[in-house]
Order: sequence, then C-alpha cells, then structure tokens
Amino acid sequence: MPTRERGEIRRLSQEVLPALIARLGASELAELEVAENGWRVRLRKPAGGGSDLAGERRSGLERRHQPRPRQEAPAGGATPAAAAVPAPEGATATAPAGPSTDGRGSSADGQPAADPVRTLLSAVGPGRGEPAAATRVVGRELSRVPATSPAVGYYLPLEGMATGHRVHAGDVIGHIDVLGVRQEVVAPADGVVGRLLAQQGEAVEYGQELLRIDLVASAAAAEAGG
Amino acid sequence: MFNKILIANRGEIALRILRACGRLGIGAVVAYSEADRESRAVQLADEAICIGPAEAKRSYLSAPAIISAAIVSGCDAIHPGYGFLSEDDSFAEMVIDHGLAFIGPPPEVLERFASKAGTRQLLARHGLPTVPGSVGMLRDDEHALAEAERIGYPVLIKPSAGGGGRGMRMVRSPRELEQALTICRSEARAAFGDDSLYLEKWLEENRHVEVQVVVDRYGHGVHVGERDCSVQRRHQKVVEEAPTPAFDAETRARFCEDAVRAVVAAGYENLGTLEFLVDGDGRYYFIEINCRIQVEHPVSEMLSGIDLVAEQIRLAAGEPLGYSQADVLLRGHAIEFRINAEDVAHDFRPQAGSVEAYLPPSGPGVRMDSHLYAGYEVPPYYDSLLGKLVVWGPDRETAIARGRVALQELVVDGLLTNTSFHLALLENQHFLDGSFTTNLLDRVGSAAFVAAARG
Repeated sequence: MPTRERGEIRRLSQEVLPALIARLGASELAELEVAENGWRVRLRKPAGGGSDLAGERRSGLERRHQPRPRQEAPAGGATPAAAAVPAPEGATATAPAGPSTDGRGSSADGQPAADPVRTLLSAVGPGRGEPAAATRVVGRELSRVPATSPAVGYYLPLEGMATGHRVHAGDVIGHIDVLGVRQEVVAPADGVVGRLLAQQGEAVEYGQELLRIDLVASAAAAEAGG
Repeated sequence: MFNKILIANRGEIALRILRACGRLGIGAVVAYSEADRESRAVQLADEAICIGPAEAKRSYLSAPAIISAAIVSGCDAIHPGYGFLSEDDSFAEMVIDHGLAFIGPPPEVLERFASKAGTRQLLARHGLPTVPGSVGMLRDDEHALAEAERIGYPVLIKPSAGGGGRGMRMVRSPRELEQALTICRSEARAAFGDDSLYLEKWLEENRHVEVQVVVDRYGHGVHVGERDCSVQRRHQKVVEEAPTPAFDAETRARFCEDAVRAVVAAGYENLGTLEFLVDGDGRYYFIEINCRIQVEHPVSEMLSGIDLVAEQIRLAAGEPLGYSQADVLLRGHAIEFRINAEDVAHDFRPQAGSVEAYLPPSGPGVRMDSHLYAGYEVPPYYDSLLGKLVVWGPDRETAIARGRVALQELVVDGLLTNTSFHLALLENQHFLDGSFTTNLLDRVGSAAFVAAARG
C-alpha cells in the first residue's frame, strides 16, 4: 500500500472517525455514510437483534471493471479503514432521515476539498447538515441484510423478485449460472426485498451483494409509519 | 496472441505473470480468494475478480470458479501459475472445452507426463538415464518389500502425484519401510488425492540439478541451462543457483542437450523442467518433469535474459520458438534465496501476520520478486513464500558477495523470516566451496545454521 494511502487511513481513523462516531451518537440518524475523494466511511447503529454491522463489500465486477485512477489515493482500492465501526453504546435505532439514495459507486467522483476534515464535520451536524460539494451524508434505515452471490457467474434472479417482494430465510431467490450449472442464491433472512443491486444476466463475483432484504420488523414499522 | 489472460494464482507469481502480461501488451484479470482481497496483484491489476473463500479448494483449486471467472470477465486464456491446478490435465482440458486457452502444456501432454513412473519409463526410452526404482506403482506392502529388496536399501518412497516433498520418506530397512508406507499413503492422499507410491534407490550423496526447457508446438526446443537445487530442507528447495558447481563446462553442455533432445522427442510442449539426481561421481539420473513455470525460474532468466513467463504465454498462443540453442547465451552465475515467513528458531514454523515494514534490497545484479508491501497481511491459509531474492554476478564468488549484501539490506518487519538462515548458509564451508549435497541441512542440522545466524 502506498505511503499516501497509509497516511490517509491514519488520518481517517485518528481524526475523522472519532468525530463522526460522536456526531452519529448524538444524532437521530441510524446510519451515516460519508464519501469523499475516493474513500467512503459508513457508520451504523446496532439494530435490536444482531443486525448487519459488516462493512459493505465492494461491488466487485461492477466496480472493478471501471477504469481506476492509478495515482489517486485509495480510489477503487481498499475501502479504507473501518467501514464497520460499531456505533456508540446506547445508541438506538430511529426513523430514517434524509434521502435514501445509495452511495455506491459515487465515492471516486468527489472534488478535492480545501480541508476535508473540516468540510466533513461541518457537513455532518447532529441535525441535517447540508452536504458540501465534496461530501455526502446519507441517513439510512437500519436492519437490512444483503443476499450475496455464492459463486462467480451470471446472475439470474427468480421472476418477480422485485422490490417489495416478501421472502423467508432460506428461500431460493435466484441463481448464479456457473458454466451452465445453477447455484442457488438464498435469502439470508425473513423480510422484504429492498434495493436490487445486480441485474438479470449480470456478471457477478463471489460474495457480491445482489439485493438487500429489509428485515420484517423494520419493514412492518416502515409500513405502519406510512 | 491472447487479448486478456485470467491469472489464477496468488502471491509473488500472480504479480510475475501480471508483469509478463504488461510486457506483452495483454490485458490481465487477477482471480483472487477472499483472503487475498488486499494482495498486491489485485491492487495493480486493471481488473480483479473474487472467485471464492480463503479455502483453496473453493477458490484456487476450483476449476468451475476459475473458468467461470475467465468467461464472465472476457478472458481468452488462463495462466495457472505454479502449484494449485497448474499441472492438472483434466483442468486444462476443461479450460479448452470452454473455448479458452490453457497457458502450459496441452492436456494430452500433461496427461502423458502426469505419472512420474510413466515419465521415467518414457524418457528412459528416449535415452535419459534413470535411478533404479520399482517397476510401476506399489500394489501393496508385500510388493513394496519385494521391490525394495531387489533395488537395495536405502530406498526413497515417493508419491506418483504432486511434489514439494509431501508423502516422501527415505527408509533404510524393511521395518522402516512398512511403517513409512502408511504415513506416505495418507500424506499423499491428503495432499494430492492420490495415494499411489513408488520406490527409488536412495543416492546417499546426491545433488538435485534440473534443466529448464522451452519447447514450441512445432517440435523446436531449447534449454536455458540447468539449476542446482541441492540446498533443501526436508525435500523443500530453499536456495537455487546456476550453473551447478557439480559439472564442468563439457558435462554441463552434454547434460542439458541430452535433456532437451529427449523431452522434445517424447512430444513435450511449452515450458518444462527436467529434474535429475547427480551422484558423487557426476553421473546423472532423470527423476521427474515439472510441467509448469517454477518458483526458481528467475535464476535462468538472470543468466539468459529470457523472460520465461512471456515465452510460456507466447508458446501457448501457438507462436513458434523463433530462435535456436546458439541464440541462448548463458552468462555469469545467479543464486535465488527463497524468503519464507518462518520462525527459524522453532523448526521453521510458518508465520502469518502483518508486514509492518518492507524494504527490498537493490543494486547491480539484484532482483527481488515479492508481493509484499508495508501494511500487507500475510494470510495463514497458503504457503509461506514471501518472495525470492535473486542475485547475479559474473562468477559465483561475486554472486555470493552480492547475496550477502542484499540479504543484509532486506527488511521485513512484523513477522519472522528465514533471512538469518540464508546469511548463515553463506558462511557455511560446504556451500562456499560448492561441495554441498541435498544432505547438507539434514547432516549439519538446521540448528547449526540458526546458532551461526545468532552468533
């Protein structure tokens, strides 16, 4: 890893992360994602019953196939540092805030900021900070888990596997075509299909996220809440 | 020529193949397991694709995963590197059945040379002397005892498949033989999925010398000299050099020419290495062929200036060799030190962990092939090879002196390496005067090297 990346990671872990954690803890947000200039940090508060605290995987093929800026710091390389830093103790899940857009793939397109740390922190206020040009803050609902690809191949979702479809843990929700042999993609939890992350016929790699499943409890809460 | 190659390996060799692709102007996709997500080859490649979890059986040894990765990423050839599936003829066949090229010998050639016993018979018919050994595979213990009696103790038990010293034992008596057979069978089964064994006469004081051959599919072949791999620890090569101190110039030339003539006549194709044992009187016996690029190939590259990996790719694409033996000029002396993550003081126990600092040596005649970088985590799932330090000099003395300087320059912080062992070896009289044999480490004892390294 180039020294520059190491320096950047040190800066992230020592300066940016502690500040972000503090702000998330004080906020009503359940999830916080900050992307800037080639790296991305996401923080999530723990859900009631063992939620997805794992850092988001890179969407391998999709992202890898894009040309990568070679000299830019960690762009396209390692998603730096702790994408999976647990939120502070006592933090509770609350309603989603902010636009529920996805930060995927947008991490490398930011403009350099004059002072990234200051820009970031001003953007991540305890309320709803205005995102600066180079940063984005995304509030997210908690309690969703990804269904991932069990193999390298072409993704074939089952018909009707659209957003809003109800699934149970263990349900076959699609297949990966590996040299003409189908391997099952299985729902990891009871819930409702949320965001679709791969298209029919798309080349996917092992472990790639194919779709997200919003867990039943939170989905019900969301429905109840309108 | 190929448009895009899938590199189905890891560590330093993935990086080496990536470099060859760059040199040839061919695109490359690095296939990696989850444990190698942060590897240097993945970082450097234009494209990388995760093929499975850390467990090699589900990633680097999974033919469907690798071939599927090649297809979805638009590759037209697969380079298997060394180890893993590199010499698996059914894998090579499957690759070709899916419309891709296998960078290595064609499957029928791999199959012909897959059995060591069969290969010895084949090359013996083409004029290569072989070590006296059992006729065919050992059927059972009784057969083994009878064959050992006929050959004469001590004998070496060897598995038909694989390499790297696993499943191998030297025994001096019928009692030792009976005990060792069970162990060798289970080791061979575990390592290669094949427990067939054969016997070979054990040459007490031998050297391990191999010949690098490069053969196109039109029957033209050259050798790129020999390599002496006699410095071994438990049948694992540790240091390799060329030329061998065992031969004079005339014997060398005859030895290498015999090897390439026989292997071309036997229908071999692509890169290969013929391994021989050389006894105290300079007689050589063919033992096996490696149908792949080898860890120690840079030794021959240093002497010849030939990029062997690029040659391998070129020949697999069907290009003719394009030069003759007279064009292969071997200059000077080269030595390769395998830098392993090992705790020398504790029986060379493999190490895993974080590389805190990495400073490779440099200077004239110094080459370091390594995938290390500061911050890299050496995963515990694979072999312990961290890199290869190769030094060149116009003569052996200069190469040794450069080796000493380079080993002292090398810094790998955060985990233990066998660098101290190499430095001690360079003080050993048997190594310095070139009289060493494969017994050197077993006879002197690794402990002596460790003590010397500390002193």
